[in-house]
Amino acid sequence: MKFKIILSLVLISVLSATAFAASRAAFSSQVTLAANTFSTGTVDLQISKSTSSAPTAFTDVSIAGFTGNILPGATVSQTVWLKNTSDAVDFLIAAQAASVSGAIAPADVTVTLTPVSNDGLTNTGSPVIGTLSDWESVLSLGSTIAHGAKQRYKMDVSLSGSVTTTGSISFDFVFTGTQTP
Amino acid sequence: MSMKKFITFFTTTCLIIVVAVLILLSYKIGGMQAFIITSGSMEPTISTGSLAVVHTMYPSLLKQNDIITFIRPDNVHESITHRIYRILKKGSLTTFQTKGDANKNVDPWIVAGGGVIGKEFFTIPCLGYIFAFAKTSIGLMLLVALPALLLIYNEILTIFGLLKNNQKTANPTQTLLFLVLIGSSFLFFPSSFALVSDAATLTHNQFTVDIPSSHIVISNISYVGDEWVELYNPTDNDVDLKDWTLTNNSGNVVIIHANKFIAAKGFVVVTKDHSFFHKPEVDIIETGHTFGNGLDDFKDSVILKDAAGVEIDRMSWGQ
Repeated sequence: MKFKIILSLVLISVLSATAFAASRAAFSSQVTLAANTFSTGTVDLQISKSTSSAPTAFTDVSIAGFTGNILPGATVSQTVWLKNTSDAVDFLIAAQAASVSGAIAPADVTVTLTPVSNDGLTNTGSPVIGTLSDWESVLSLGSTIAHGAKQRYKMDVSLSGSVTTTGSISFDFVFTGTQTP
Repeated sequence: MSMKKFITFFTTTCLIIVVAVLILLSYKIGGMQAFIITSGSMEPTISTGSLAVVHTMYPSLLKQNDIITFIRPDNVHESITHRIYRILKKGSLTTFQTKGDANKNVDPWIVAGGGVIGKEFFTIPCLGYIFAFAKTSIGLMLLVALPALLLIYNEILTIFGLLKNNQKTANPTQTLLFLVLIGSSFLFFPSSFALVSDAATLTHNQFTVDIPSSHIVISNISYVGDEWVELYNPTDNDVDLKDWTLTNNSGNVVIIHANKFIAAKGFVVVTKDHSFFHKPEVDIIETGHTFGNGLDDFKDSVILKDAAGVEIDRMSWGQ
């Protein structure tokens, strides 16, 4: 009988310890718990060049970029909107220049992307600056677009004042929205 | 051994094996580890809610198109399960470019060989949902706390029964015991994102270098918010801008009254008020007037004329 009682006490101790350890494991790793949110549904990042403060027309995959003349030492400012039409996924935005070609050296062209307010008057985040050479690697814009939300960016393209020859430069600019935790 | 005892023995052995495997897989033991896949960028290969079991492998042995789980390069607290899109080798260093099957673009990082946790061994659809449920408050209560309390209660009754010299009043239930153990082991399973992403592209941006040689040009305009017009002097001589004018679509004229020179190869910014332009190092001409009736955000143009009224340059925007 003594043995059976000791066995029951040991079992109670083991069960209590197991339940306690399990609870601690579950509640002490909040990051792990949070990461167990399952993401399903559609994922879509859309783009627009509208200068309106409330654009409605967005394009799914790509739109024709900006064209124009630029003087050495000068800056051309443009507007880009990104919209996250995903069901439930928030996006961390990064960008990358691709298919860079032309007579002008990529190092002579600087692109600055700044998150701005809907009316374009106020910066809402830090600008990310790089030459086209830098942008050939992916640079994070450090801004997040929640699902269903849109974000306006000011895109400044500057040409180095040291450029003395005529020519042009062509490039694609790929914006990528990556799921946030 | 009676049939009843055999069934009990067989069931107990199976449950012990299942619990042992679950506990082993929740840690990286024997080179194997299991992850709960929490999103769908690897669909249709791996669906959301799957349990993916990976095994350790030397980076040099990994091949293109292998599915790997790796530590996210920009957040070491997360792991990602994606396919190897390209293998990059530099000397003895092996790195990987990765991509989710359902994603349009490659991931925005390069994965170092040391960041790879393992290569996919097999996946079990939907099992991750059950494991994740165990981590919720309700799951914890149903799978761990409640069975544990029932068993403890049962054992207390047993002790009292024995102390009273009676037969115990209840029997410990093996199922409950193993439910506690299995439920507990679920809690240790880590998650892995099959990180979803999407891309949108500005294609064929094209800028042509404009090097005018003989006249002042409008080099930049701000027409959203604070309005200003930047002028550039590409010539080798300073130019006096007194009585030069700027006109927009409204026809209203802004005259530069000041005896203001624009230096050779230099810039000036013309604006109503210096507070409209926020770079103190730039030479500014204040006119005290808006451009016409204000520059339109969508469609307008600015025309620059010299003191004699000759058009020197113009810039338009909008369709």
